[in-house]
Amino acid sequence: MREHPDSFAGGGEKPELIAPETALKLAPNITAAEALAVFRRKLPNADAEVREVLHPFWSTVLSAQTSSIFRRNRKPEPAGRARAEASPGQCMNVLVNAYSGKGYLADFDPRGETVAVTEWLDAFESSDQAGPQPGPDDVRRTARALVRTKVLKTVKLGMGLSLDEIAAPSGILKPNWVVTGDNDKFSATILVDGLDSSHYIVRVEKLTQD
Amino acid sequence: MNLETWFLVIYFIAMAGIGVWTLKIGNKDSEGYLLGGRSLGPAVTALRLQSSSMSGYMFLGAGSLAYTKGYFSLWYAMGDIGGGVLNLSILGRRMRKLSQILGSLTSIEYLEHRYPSKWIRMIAAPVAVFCIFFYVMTQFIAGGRGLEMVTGIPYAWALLVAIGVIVFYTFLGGYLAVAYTDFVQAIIMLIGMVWILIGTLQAVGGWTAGNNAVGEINPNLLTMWGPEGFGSVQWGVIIGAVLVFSIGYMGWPHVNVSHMAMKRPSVARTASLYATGFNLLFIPAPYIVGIMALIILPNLDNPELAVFQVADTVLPNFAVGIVMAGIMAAIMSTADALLLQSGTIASQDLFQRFIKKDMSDRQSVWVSRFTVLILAIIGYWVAVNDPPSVAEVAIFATTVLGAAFVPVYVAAAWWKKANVPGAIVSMILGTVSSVSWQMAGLVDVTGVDPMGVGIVCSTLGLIVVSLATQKSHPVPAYVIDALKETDKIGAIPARMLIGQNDALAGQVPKDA
Repeated sequence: MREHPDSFAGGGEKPELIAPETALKLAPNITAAEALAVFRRKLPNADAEVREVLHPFWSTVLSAQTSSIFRRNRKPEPAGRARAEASPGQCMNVLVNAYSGKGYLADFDPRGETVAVTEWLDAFESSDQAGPQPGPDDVRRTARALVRTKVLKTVKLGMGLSLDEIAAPSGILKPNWVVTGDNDKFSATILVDGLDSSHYIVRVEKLTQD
Repeated sequence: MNLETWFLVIYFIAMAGIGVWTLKIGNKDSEGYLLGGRSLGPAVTALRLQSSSMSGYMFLGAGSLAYTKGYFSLWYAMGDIGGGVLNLSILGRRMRKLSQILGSLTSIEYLEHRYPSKWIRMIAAPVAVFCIFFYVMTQFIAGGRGLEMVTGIPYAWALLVAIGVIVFYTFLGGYLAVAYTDFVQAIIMLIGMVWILIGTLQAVGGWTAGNNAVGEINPNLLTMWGPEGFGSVQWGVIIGAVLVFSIGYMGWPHVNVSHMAMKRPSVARTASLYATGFNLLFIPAPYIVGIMALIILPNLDNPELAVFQVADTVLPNFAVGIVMAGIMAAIMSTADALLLQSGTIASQDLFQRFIKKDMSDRQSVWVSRFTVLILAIIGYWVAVNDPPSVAEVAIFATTVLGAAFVPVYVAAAWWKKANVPGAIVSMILGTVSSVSWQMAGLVDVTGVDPMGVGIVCSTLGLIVVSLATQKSHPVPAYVIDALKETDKIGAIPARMLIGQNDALAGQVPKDA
């Protein structure tokens, strides 16, 4: 998934946290051993320990439908049809970071175990990330802006675009791995994405002088 | 203001409009600004690649070569026709895939990631910026000359307007703007060039009648051996002429960046079909027009203006406006790609790599924009005071870029044993040999083109040094793995993606 740095337009005073009504805990696609392998690719022969952490996100699904410049108006949808059926456009899952409000297009359908909202709130407390902490309306706005940008980047000039919300914003707990360890030269902590094994170097220290 | 000028004004406004439009949707982060978010499909990829390769050279240099050397100039056309397709076929899919695996945003950064050493970037970036600057200057001169002719305003002002428009939309929209305007411009170029060709052939009474008339001036002009005939053929120059544009394209960083911006690696296959169609329709035209100009305008003072002057002579006024827009399209599409590439190299490959490592995306984009502006100002100053010959400078810059970079780009994607010392020696040998061959005047003495010499030196350097240093400087295991993955067709496994995912910075827990 790809970050969209300016996707959340909120700002100003820190708003009161609005918790989602439901929350889903995603299972990691990456095992602890694979996270360790990512770490050792950066620090060969390192001794390291791995622990799982959960990061709170909001999730929503939008359907994007494009039309040619000559047929901008969509036909009205028949009453009573399920929303998902009524929107034949491309569905896009959007995750929004619960702290920063930054949006991501997810290239997967979020599936996992339903958990109590308190778990989502606990995960939220486990980080001190700064940010505007978006509520459901902010999440909707961010998701629409992100999907609109994504679609308009690739379609022709003058193409019409309509967006429909397929699923209301809900909570997601995304798994990551924190790997800490050292070899004979460096000590480091790396955060490994629990879904796609991409990584972020949190800390690195040189242990020996050349 | 005459009709032709109105067409140009409308055209400039339309191109600037695309720049503003892409500003709103495209350049929120570096990947958007520099690679259009890796979102380009086959038609945009192919036509962008071709229009940014063809340049003002096709309208000034190609016409001039044909006017002075007759059908001999088609050696260059042959290289040109095959060049884009060869580039897409040889590098396209593999470079797209490998650049994503290695997390590379620029074509120079890609070289450094494939051959992991800071020396790669320290050598490649200045060579690329140096050559690109000269090449972009030729585009400025061509743009200024074209505008001067169409509008009648003095050259200095015409140059200023041309540069202003090019910089305006390159400055605003980044790669996505350049890619989309290049796509539109490729179509305008094609329409304009084919229109001139049809008008020219009608004016000379058809191709056969035109050839007969050229034959009466000098029968050797009708052969591929040059005005002096077969006896004085310089085979080395002919080989160089074919090489310079056929494989030379593969050494152009501003052209190769197209591969990295493709939506998927498989886009390369379809894009090469589009590129072939475009090349077959477009490339022979300016050469044929240049040859036929010998009949229509036999006493031309400046052969570089052959295509412009023929268009002005044989086409009705309204058509001249459209055709001139096509000519400006060729010039501008190359110039903007070059400027953007220079900005990219300055911000990503030099500034961020060696000066300010923690530079934000926003700062990086601004460094690119200032570089574009500075190059434009210097380019204007040189082009307005002492404009050199467009064809000579364009061919020279292409020769040096090709000699320096073709072997390292090709080997990066295809040869697992190509290593850091081999790449360094190859780039240095390619640059030094082609520049010194040209500067020492050895082309006339030996009859061998500097492109041929440069390519042979850089290729041999790469092979010999890489093989000799395999033990001391082995290719890292992760690069070998990435190359093995590049051999395969299909999606890249996430574990292979080497670049850091900065988005994870927002997910670090407080006790990490």
